[in-house]
Amino acid sequence: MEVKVVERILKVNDTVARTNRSRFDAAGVLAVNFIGSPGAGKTSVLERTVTGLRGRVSLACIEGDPYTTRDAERIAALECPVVQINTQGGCHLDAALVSQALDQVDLAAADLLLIENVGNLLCPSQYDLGEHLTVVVLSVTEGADKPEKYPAAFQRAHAVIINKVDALALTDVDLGAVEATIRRFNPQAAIFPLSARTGEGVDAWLRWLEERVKAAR
Amino acid sequence: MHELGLAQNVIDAVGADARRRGFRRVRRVTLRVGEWSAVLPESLEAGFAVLASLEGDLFAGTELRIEREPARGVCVACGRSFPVGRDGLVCPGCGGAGRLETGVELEIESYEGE
Repeated sequence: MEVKVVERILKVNDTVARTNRSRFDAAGVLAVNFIGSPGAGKTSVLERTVTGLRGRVSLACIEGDPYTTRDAERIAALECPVVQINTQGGCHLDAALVSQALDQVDLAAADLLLIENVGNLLCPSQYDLGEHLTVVVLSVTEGADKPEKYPAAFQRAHAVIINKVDALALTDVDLGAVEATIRRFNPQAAIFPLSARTGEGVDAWLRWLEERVKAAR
Repeated sequence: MHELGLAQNVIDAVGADARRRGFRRVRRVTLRVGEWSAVLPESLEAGFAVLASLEGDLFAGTELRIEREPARGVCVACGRSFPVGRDGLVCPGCGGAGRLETGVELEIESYEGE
C-alpha cells in the first residue's frame, strides 16, 4: 500500500525552530543567524556589531563552534553576554542546539541576539534556527564565485556582508563582480562591503541592522 | 556531510507511521531532494542502508528512491518559470529579479508498506 507522506525530512528541526521564534517574538528580540565559511570573519563582524551598537541596543550572542571556546571568549571580552555551543565536530547548528543555549540567555534583557553558525556555507543553509534574519558573511579573499557555488546559503540571505575590503588590493577580485554575482543569486538581499578590521563600511551595516531591531521591539 | 542524521530522520518518521498502520514491511521510501539541498544522494543512500539494516524486519530490503528536484526560479515581474543555471535568479525573459521556486527540497514524498 502506497502512503503519501510529503513532509520535510527536517520536520522536527522546523518544529523546534518555530518554538525558538515564538520565544524571540514574545521577548521582542530580533534573532540573526550568521553563516559563512571558516575564516570569512564572522566573529570579527560580531565584535564590530557588539561595540558599534553598544548603548543603543541590548545584545546577546550564541557562538557555534566545532570544538573550541575561542570565539565566545572574544565576545565575552567585550562584556557582551555569550553562550557557547560546541557541536563536537558537527557541521552546522540546529534548532535544538539553539533551544538548549536559549535556556542560558536572558531574552527579557536583550533586543538583539546574534547567532554565529559553524563555519560552513553548505549545511547551515538547510537548518532553520528560528531566526528572523539570515546574514551571509563572505570575504573578498574567497573570490567572486561563491554565490554560484553555494546558492542555497546566498538565496536565503536577507543581507550579505562582503568582509575584508581592506585586502582588495592584495587580490585579483573585483568588488563589483562579487556584488553582481550575489545579485544574480539573490536580487533582494542588502549588500554591505566592509572591513571588520579597519571599520570601513561598518556604519551602513549597523544602521540597517538597528532599523530592523527597532521594528522588532 | 550530515546525511546520516537525515537518513535517521527518514527512518524514524516512516517507521513510526508504518508501525501505527500495522505494516510489517516497508518496501520502498521515496524522497524529494533538491539540487541545492547540500545533500549527496549517494551518502544518503549509504546511510539509509546501514541504518535500515539495524531496524530489523520493518526495513529489511527497503528500496530508497531519490527524486532530484532541479533548481527553478520564477520571475517576480513577469511570472515566467525558468531553470536556474549560471545566470542565477535573473529572468531569461525580461531580465527581472526572480525568486527560488524549487531546488532546496528535503522531503519524504511517500512510502510503500505492507
